[in-house]
This record gives sequence, C-alpha cells and structure tokens, in this order.
Amino acid sequence: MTCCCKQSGPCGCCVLVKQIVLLVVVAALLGAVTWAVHPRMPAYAAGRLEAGEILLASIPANALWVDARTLTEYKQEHVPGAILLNEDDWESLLAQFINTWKGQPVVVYCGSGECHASKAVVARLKEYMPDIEAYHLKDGWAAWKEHHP
Amino acid sequence: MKQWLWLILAVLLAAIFAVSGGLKLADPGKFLFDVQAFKLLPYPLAFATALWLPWFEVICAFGLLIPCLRRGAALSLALACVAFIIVLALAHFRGIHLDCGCFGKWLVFPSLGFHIAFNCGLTVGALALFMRKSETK
Repeated sequence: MTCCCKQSGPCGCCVLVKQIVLLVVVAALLGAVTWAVHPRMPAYAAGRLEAGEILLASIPANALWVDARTLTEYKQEHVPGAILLNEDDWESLLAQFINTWKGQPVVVYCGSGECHASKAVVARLKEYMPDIEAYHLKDGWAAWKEHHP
Repeated sequence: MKQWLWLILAVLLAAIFAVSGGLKLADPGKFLFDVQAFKLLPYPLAFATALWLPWFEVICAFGLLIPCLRRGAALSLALACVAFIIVLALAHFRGIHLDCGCFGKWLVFPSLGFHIAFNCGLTVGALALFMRKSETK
C-alpha cells in the first residue's frame, strides 16, 4: 500500500488520521442511535430555545432581573435584586423599572415554563424600548428555585 | 518514565473522560441545554454536539486503553480540551459564567481559573500520551 506522503506503507501521520476518523465516525453513529432510542433526548424541535428565551446558566452576571409575577408572589420571595414589573400595574412599575435600568441586559421571569407573563413583559418592554436586550427565562421561577433551593 | 506510569496516566485520563461522557449520556437533554447555554453554536450544531460529544469522550477514553488507538485518542482528546478551554474563555468574556456540568454535582469548579487549569492538566496529560509513541520511534 502506498501512503499519501509517497512512503511505502502507511506513515505514522496517516495511521493517526485514520484512528481519529474512526473515533469520530463511531461516536457519530452511536450519537445517532442515542437520538433514536434515548428516552431523555428531546425531539429535535423540543430542545430548541424559543426566540428571546434564555437559560439560567447563560444569564450575564450584570443582568437586571425583572419579576413578572404578582405582587403577592414577589413579596413572598424573589430573585435577589429583582424588581417587580407586571401588567397589573404597568405604568407605575415601568417608571420604577426605568429608574433602575442602566442599559444592562434584562431577564424577565414568571412562575414556571407554562406561564406567559414574562414573554408579555418582554414584548411590551421592546415596544417601549426597541433596542433593549431583554430575555424571558426558560422555566421561570421554577428554574431559579431548582438551582437555589 | 517507567512503563507502568504511562499506563496509570492512560487509565486515569480514560476514567476521567469515561465518567464525563457517561454522565452526559445519562441525560443528553440536559447536556443539550448546557451546550446551548454557551450561546456559541447555532441550534442544529448544538443538537449534533449534544449527541456526538459524550460518545466521542467515551470512545476516546476506551481508545486510550487500546494500544493501536492510543495516539489518535490522545490527540483527539487534547484537541477537544483545547477547544473547550477556548469556549470557556469566550463565554467568560461575553459575561456568561457557567460550569460545563461535565461531572454533575461530583465536581463543581469554584472558578474559571480552576476550570481552565483542570482542562490544561488534561490537555498536557493527553499530549504526553500522544508524544510518547513519537519519542520511542
């Protein structure tokens, strides 16, 4: 057998490339099997983040937290430093938000993955301030509590 | 270096990568979100990475224990570690401070420095295994 580098027999470099290709391909095949049969692998679309959605782990350290739940829930417990902003009392709470916000990214959360209040607040904030970098937290308050029991 | 020391190094690295890959394989859905959390890859690539990378770690871990695959596995893992160090640094400079979740709750790195130092150690170990064969030629 003649190697690509014109030596007789495969050279060390070609053997190495073949080893790496073998490792990569076998891992890809097993990955495909995992996709097909693993019970904890989400369907392709189900694992995708929605537009404007952010994971707890991705949140920038300087982000401003906004609590879109009710005043009662906010008073019970909230993310440290979070300010309240919901549609129940939008005008006065928005004024408080504008006084606090210094241009940093904004992360809005509501009760769980099923609630829509955080998306609504993000949408309204973007109506007022189109350039604002605002996200809604995936799985909301539940995600926070899971990591901060 | 004595033969048995090289063997210990290979077994140690293999164990670390097998555990890391195995924990990811236990819950690939969670790992998919971990990959997305870095915000570096478009979703199709993140999805493919979540499926492929855990197996790649496990296969390379076994490769380290098989003499005819050792050099390829060692170089692959060294390159993967270097790539991961770059990813960690990029995420850090974008204000994202996160753990890879590579070892579940067994090993949580207290700071980025520790995390990078750990991966540098793995890189050096893997490169040493890769270079060894060259030296003996």
